[in-house]
Amino acid sequence: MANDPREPSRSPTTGRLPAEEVAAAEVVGKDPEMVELEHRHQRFVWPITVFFLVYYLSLPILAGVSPDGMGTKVFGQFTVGYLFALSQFLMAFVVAWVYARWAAKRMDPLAADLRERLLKQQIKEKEAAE
Amino acid sequence: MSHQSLSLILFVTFVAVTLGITVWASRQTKTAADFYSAGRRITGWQNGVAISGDYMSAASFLGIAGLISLFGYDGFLYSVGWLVAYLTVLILVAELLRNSGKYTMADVLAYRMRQRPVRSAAALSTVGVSIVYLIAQMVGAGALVKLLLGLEGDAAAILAIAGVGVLMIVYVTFGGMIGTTWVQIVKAVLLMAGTLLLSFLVLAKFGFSMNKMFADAATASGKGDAFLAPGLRFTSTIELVSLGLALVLGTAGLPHILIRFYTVPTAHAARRSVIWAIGIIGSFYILTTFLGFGAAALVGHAAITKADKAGNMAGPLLAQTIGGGEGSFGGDLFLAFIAAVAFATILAVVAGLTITASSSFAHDFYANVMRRGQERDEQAEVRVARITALVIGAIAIVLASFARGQNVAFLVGLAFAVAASANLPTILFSLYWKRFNTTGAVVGILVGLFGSLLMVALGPNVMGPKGLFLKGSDPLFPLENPGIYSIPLGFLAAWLGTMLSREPASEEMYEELRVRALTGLGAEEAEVAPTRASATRPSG
Repeated sequence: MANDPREPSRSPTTGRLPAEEVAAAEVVGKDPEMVELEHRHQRFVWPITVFFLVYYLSLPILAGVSPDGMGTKVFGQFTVGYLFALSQFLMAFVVAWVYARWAAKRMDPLAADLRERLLKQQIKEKEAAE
Repeated sequence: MSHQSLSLILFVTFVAVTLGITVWASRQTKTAADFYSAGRRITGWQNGVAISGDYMSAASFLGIAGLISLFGYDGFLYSVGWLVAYLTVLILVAELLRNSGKYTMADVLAYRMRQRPVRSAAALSTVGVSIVYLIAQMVGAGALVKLLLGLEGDAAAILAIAGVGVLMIVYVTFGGMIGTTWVQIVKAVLLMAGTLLLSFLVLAKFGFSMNKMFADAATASGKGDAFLAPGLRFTSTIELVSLGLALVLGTAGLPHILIRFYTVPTAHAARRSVIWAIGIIGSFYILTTFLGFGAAALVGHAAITKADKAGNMAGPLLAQTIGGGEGSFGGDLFLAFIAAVAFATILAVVAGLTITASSSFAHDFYANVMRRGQERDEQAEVRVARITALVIGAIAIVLASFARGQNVAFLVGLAFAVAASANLPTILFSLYWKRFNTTGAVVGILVGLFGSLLMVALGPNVMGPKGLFLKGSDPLFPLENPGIYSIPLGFLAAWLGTMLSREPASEEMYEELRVRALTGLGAEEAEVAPTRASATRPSG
């Protein structure tokens, strides 16, 4: 195909053609800061995803397998099932908080740093080309 | 004054206010970026409130309350799943999506793929998911108006559905995304206020003892302690897990939620907006306990099923009872207020869904497929979006007339299953899998979309003795919610499609996508607000 029909929205900051972006990205992809950013991201998001999915899915599984157990009253009219369901809300709030803190501390500064550096580099290249 | 006229006055007031906001917003809508994504000027908390408004639909307010009031504990499982779903959005999707897309869900899917096939498939699944979601909202609206006006029979419900359809078209065609965003915000505040008030009054009825509320609900239900345990609605573990998977994975594949992240200026704002949404939505879903168990104890099974056999009217009836009962002024007033809130809820969600589907069709199909290679005509694009809104509204109205009598939360659960099966695999693979390619994306979307729709169509709610058609035969698919089969099927199809072909260009662009997604380099930036002087309306 002579003319590849993909046209991702052109970078508004650099105005570069997609092909040039790809070439630049290859280099950036091997940039130690980018490698570190990727590493941190992958190492955090997958384990925490597995955690909340397992915690969550144990609710319908237990409800299906042991309705009597879930119906056991812990105090007053509060059943194991209701308290476990409420704990899911707490879990969601805590996981969201942990994620936000992690992202602010471990991702944001590094990402901002890398972005600034790449932006300067791109502007310099653009000027050189002109 | 009868509760009919009171509720009508309140309802008309609300519609006037929201339409006023919409007209005001329409004056701010000038460019395509304005129409689709509010110029990327919405702040994190505003967007969080708007996401909550988009999300807390008739299913949450009417459907869950109804399920809990009829089946007790099992109904609450919807509340849990729909909240935890936001973790999937927050952790895996929101920020990366914000950085790599522009207007629609397909922007991310098509980033490194061949545009035409992927955009066509994505537009199809966006329209498909939105229509299934819309059907549920229309069913809720129909039941509500029937109750409000005290009308009997099918004609009233169909009239209600048509009325909502017309209002929705007005919202979308005049307001675009800014108008819709503000409608969501106003509605979310009203809904939270109404629910908090109702919950407080319910608790007060029981002397602020949840214990007494649970005990009375269990007694009034006639089911005793079983009402506080799982098993009255769902008995099979497979069915429970299937529903759970659809709920927890569906949100991250809902086009109308995903495009909300394009309305904020940065990925950081996208994160903040999900955190806000989790706080608001989580609080709301905890309160469904009081709506549901309160209605079971105070309104009772017979009165709830008399108004709507699927329980959709439990919340409004609870308000009437709390206010003093049918015929009392307080009861009529409170019923009118809660009904107006519910109506606003439905209108706002319908507007959000319609604008998403119509944007996707106009941007992904009309502009990028039909008019590819030609100069971009933003005015024509917006016009096509408005026509699409009309057509989608009409289709949803017709289909909703078949789905009357179903619980709204259950119906929305189906939309979640379709979204998780058709969209989520492609979204995740696009963002996280280098090898992923066009064939995988198209096959994944189509198999997930039609696979899940087929399973619903052959399932117990459409065919067989409890369904709509072929009442004499058994349903061909055993589960009410197809998630446990259709979601893995979508992932499998996307994987298999990918392995069948190689696409070096897609793999080469993966690095670029990741750099952009993780750092925001080259991402769409917020538009500078146009000043009055420079903002000239482009002609023709």
